[in-house]
Amino acid sequence: MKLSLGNKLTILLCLFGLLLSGLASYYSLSSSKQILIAAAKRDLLVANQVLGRNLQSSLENFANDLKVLSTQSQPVDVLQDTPRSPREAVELTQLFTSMLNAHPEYQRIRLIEAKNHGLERINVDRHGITASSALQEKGHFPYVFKTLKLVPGQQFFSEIAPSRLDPDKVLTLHIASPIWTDDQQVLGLIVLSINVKKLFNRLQRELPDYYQLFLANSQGELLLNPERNKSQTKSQGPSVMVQTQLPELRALLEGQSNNMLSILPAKREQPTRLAAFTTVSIEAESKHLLLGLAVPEEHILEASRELDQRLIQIIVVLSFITLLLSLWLARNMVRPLNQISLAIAHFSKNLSLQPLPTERGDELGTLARDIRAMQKKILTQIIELNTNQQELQRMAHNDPLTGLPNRRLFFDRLQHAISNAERSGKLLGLLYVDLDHFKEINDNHGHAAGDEVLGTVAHLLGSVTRSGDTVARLGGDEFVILFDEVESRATLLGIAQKLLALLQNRLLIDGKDLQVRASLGISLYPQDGSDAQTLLQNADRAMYSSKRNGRNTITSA
Amino acid sequence: MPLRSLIPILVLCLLSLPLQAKPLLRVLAWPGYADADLVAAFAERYDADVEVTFVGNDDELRLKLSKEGGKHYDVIAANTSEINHFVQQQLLQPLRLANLTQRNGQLQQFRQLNDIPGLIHEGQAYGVPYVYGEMGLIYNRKMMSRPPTSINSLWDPQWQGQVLAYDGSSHSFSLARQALAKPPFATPNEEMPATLAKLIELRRNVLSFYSLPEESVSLFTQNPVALMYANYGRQQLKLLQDAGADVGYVIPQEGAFAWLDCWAITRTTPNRDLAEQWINYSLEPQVSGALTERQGLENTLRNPQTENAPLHLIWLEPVANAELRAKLWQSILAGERPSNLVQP
Repeated sequence: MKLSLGNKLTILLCLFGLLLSGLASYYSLSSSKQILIAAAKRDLLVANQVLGRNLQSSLENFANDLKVLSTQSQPVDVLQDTPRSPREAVELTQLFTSMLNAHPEYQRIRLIEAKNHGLERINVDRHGITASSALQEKGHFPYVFKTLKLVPGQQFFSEIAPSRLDPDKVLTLHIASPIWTDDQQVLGLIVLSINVKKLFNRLQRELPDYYQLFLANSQGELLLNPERNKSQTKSQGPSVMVQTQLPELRALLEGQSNNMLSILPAKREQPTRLAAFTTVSIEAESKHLLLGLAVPEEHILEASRELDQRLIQIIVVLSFITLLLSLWLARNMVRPLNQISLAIAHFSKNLSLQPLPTERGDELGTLARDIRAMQKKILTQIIELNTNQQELQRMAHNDPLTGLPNRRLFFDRLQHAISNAERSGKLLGLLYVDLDHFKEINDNHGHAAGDEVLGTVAHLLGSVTRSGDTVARLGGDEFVILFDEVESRATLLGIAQKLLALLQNRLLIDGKDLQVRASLGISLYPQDGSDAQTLLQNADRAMYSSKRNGRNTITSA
Repeated sequence: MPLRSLIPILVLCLLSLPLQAKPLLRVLAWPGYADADLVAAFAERYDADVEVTFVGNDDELRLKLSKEGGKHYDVIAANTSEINHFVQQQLLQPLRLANLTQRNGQLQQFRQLNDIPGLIHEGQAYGVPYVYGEMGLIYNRKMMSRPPTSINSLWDPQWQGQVLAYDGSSHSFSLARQALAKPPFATPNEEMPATLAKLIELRRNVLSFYSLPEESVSLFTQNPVALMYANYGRQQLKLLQDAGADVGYVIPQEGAFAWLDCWAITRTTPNRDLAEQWINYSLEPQVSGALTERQGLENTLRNPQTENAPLHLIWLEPVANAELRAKLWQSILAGERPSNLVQP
């Protein structure tokens, strides 16, 4: 298939435009995707660190509250069973209660004595104050036996571990401070129990929904596991150790680094996620929490998907514009070309000038102007050629002095008239005129006067003819008149007599009064000859008869 | 155009991939029974996902398995008396012994299922022995000049606050009964107060209770501990020795409770074949051997190479009133004083 230049141009320009816009879009897309992911990573890391600091400061606040409680005088008095003890116990209970009321995360505050196997002395929890008969011995719990070994000012932070028998049970963090007498004897402790889930719900509320929050204790045991399907019973399924799932986390758990960024691979019901992990130290020494935030990669790419769509729209629009532009450009290029070729075709066919895009300022305009100039030049030359030809024609058939047809043209016309008369059956008449004594005029008055006489006679001859008749000068002072249509010889004789009468008048030539007379001979077609030669000879002979008969007379053949 | 005609088939295959998702095997077992590397090898061999849940005591095992008719697990490890309990609860299904080809490699005594109490019900087998051990005493050589001889050492006030005991209702009751020189697996109502008093006495003498072997190790290494009731037996001994503790292991003169843990398949499992493959896999020499090499536990493929002296072992039996024991044990563990303990 042959493509027109316009189509070729359109396709080429379109492809070029598409290629450019496609390349530009691809590069901007891939770079923006990377930027998006980098930004998401940064956000995630920052969010996780902020969350970590929030958690840290919450924990510090809890520790401070506990410190305030443990430095009061009442615990010592109560544990020493001083006389003021009952009243102080009431005060302390009120203090515990008000503290619980002030902090929704606080689950329980207890005063526990060192003796009696760690018997609780005061126990206030969300349900109220525990009756003294229901108080329990807690000596075998780490928060008791470990706290009792601490020096004043130190605090115990328990490991947060899910209850093995009842995983639905609240996750608890126990913070404990030992109570010492003035004489350096440990009396007991105050334990503040924190509802970890409540604390994290509060922290999580500040995060967007799509963030998944992970929390693991220092063993790497997952405490908050967002991967657990909500519908699935929480107590079921394995207790998950993060380091087995993500071995890189071991470095964090072992305290080699503070935070890291990682990809959580896709698994059952969970998409691939981008995750940031950070450790929060409860205590300077060992125990820390591992805090993780994860965002599904999908979510990050969602933004870029919007970008994709926007870019696709832009590409479509750009392509459309490219198409329009290419069409317009191609038309603009091809239309003048077509116009020029059409104009050239017309010119070569019939020399007509068609419109050309000469007004354009570009190369096509120049081309059009050059072509126009060329056309004009050709036209001028053709006209000149025609004029010259006409002049040559005239010079070949006419007598230069009188402007009358010469012998050659006369013969043409005579033959033409004979063939016409042959068909129509009409009569033709020839009148041969020869001036009398013309040589003497030339000799006596000069050639200029002779020429003038010839011109005047030619004029005179013309005056007796009708249109269609031909007056010719055969040479010297001989003229002949062809009458295209005559009724009879008598008519022709009449015309000849009229002419002879006119010639009797004197002519005023060059200020001189001259007598110019002529001898006339008549021949008639078809009586006096059926061909031009014979007819003219017969007229000539008749004219000579006139000459012989004394001139200034008419003789008929 | 043979290639072109294949395309629809290929497309159909691709579309059906999600339908052929990997099967999931959910294993409920004890620490050391399914190490991650061995699990990974199984998962690769059978192109399956494997989820392992470890339990720390029988109460936890019961709780996890009995939830919603056992539908959260496919294959479990439990001792013979617990298997007996679960069969009665209709949580397990009979085993197709013909499919368990790896049993051929087991010692004769572990293939005679009829001779092992608790595994056969109405002529059908419900458990395949996998691992066994006894619950001896681990003592700290640095603190005790002479090895303890009796379980009563756990109650010895000399070691008050330096003893570790196990957090598990049935074993703890059995232990208290043993210390009282009474039949360990049954507690008549009239003897309950004395038993509870003994258990409270134990609680008051211990530093703490543990359930997982790793827990006992961290308690042991972070605190001065003289004596520990080793519920996991030699597995714990090995862990402690690996942690650098100078410890010894004795079977008390009263005898040590011994457990035989068996694999069983839950009644509701959707992956019975895969569960059977798991049991076969666990009985392969390199897997069962790992129990001994890594954990110090005895496997069922070869005879123990330790002491030649006959050990005084008391094989665990189903206990009466397990639920009551569990409930009372929780109260004891919570620190209830004797006066507040709810009695039957």
